[in-house]
Amino acid sequence: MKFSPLVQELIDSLKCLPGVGAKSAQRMAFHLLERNRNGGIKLSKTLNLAMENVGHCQKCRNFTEQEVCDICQSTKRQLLQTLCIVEGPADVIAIEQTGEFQGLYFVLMGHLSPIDGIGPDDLGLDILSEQLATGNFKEIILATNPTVEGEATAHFIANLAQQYQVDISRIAHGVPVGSELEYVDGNTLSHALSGRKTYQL
Amino acid sequence: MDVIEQSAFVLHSRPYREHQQIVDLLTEHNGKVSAVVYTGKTNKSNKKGLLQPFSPLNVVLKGRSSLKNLSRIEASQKSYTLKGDHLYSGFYMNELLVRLLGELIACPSLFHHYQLSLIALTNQHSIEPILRKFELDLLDELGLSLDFSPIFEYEADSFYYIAEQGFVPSIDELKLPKYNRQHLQAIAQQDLSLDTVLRCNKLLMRQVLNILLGGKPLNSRKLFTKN
Repeated sequence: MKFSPLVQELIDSLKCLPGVGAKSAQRMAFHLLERNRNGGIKLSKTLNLAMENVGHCQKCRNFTEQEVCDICQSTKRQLLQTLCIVEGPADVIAIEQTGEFQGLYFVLMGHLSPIDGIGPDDLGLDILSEQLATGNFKEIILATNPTVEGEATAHFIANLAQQYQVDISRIAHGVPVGSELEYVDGNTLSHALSGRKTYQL
Repeated sequence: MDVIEQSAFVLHSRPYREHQQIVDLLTEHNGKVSAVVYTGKTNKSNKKGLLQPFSPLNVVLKGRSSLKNLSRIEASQKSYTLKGDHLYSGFYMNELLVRLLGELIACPSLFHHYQLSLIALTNQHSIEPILRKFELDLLDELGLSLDFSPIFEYEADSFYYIAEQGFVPSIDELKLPKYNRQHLQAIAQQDLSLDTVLRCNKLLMRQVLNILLGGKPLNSRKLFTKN
């Protein structure tokens, strides 16, 4: 049996989502058609708007429908003169939720990975250089992931930033809160030991 | 395939489905292998920390198809911590292996040389001799060892390297890089003490590898040129 062309097209379109195969796409399509028309209409409108209007912030490369995103526009944040460099938009949210950091961000949208063909040109490092050249920043925090590729990216950016008068720091490696030392992998533990801090009383 | 525990290094990994990864491994007894591994969603079962490049592992592979299952994985030693250009060199070696080495062909000696190169890179030894040595080892493994005998037989000042012919004395003018005879002799004798010899060796390897790579550039080279 075949579905009518429009239903089939809906199912095929849903398959472009990550982790969604033929069966899941079919289930989603039927659910929207049968049980949640309003949700489906809202989804289609928002999807259309977002796909047409959302671009990258000119300063930090994060997703935004404005030319410069809200975080970059905030004068309070600009005053801190600190730039936190992260791999993806999800990292920005994660750091924002801690409330620890009040400065600006720069989103690389990936990390250096030669085998996947991602080189320095794909990470918007030219925009980063422009940002640093303005002299608006006193410190950059390298908050790329603690993977080998993230480390390489951090090193590459640190090299790039050396020519501008900025302090360069790297987020610490450590043991996660609530975990048990015996289950922590050796690499993390050795980083945690070598990067230990003096105990403040 | 026997179920045995063996040493391995992760060359590259990419996400697969929700909680799995496909990793390219260089193993001691099976050569280059692709395997699926479940990386887990809880902290205790998370193996992503182990599945980093340049970390010596003990693994058990299962499965009959060419895509194996990684059924057990443990760190055998502390991982090699490479920094800066040495780290980029590690990426360079991995990229060469991923692109040139055939799958499931045992290469214990290359594995050994790879590990030695990583140790040398970790100890911050000078990069070029390590990489040149590794490239020669890789060519040996691919069955494409350079035949240096013409350099000693022919009385010419310089030589060309031509694909599938090897070294040819430069009598006619060809649009190919020329290599000095003395430099080549030094390379043949593994004497890389002079800078000019290293430079010649680098150009030679670049030409030889470019032929093997089908003219597609190596991405890890970009990391070096920018800084």
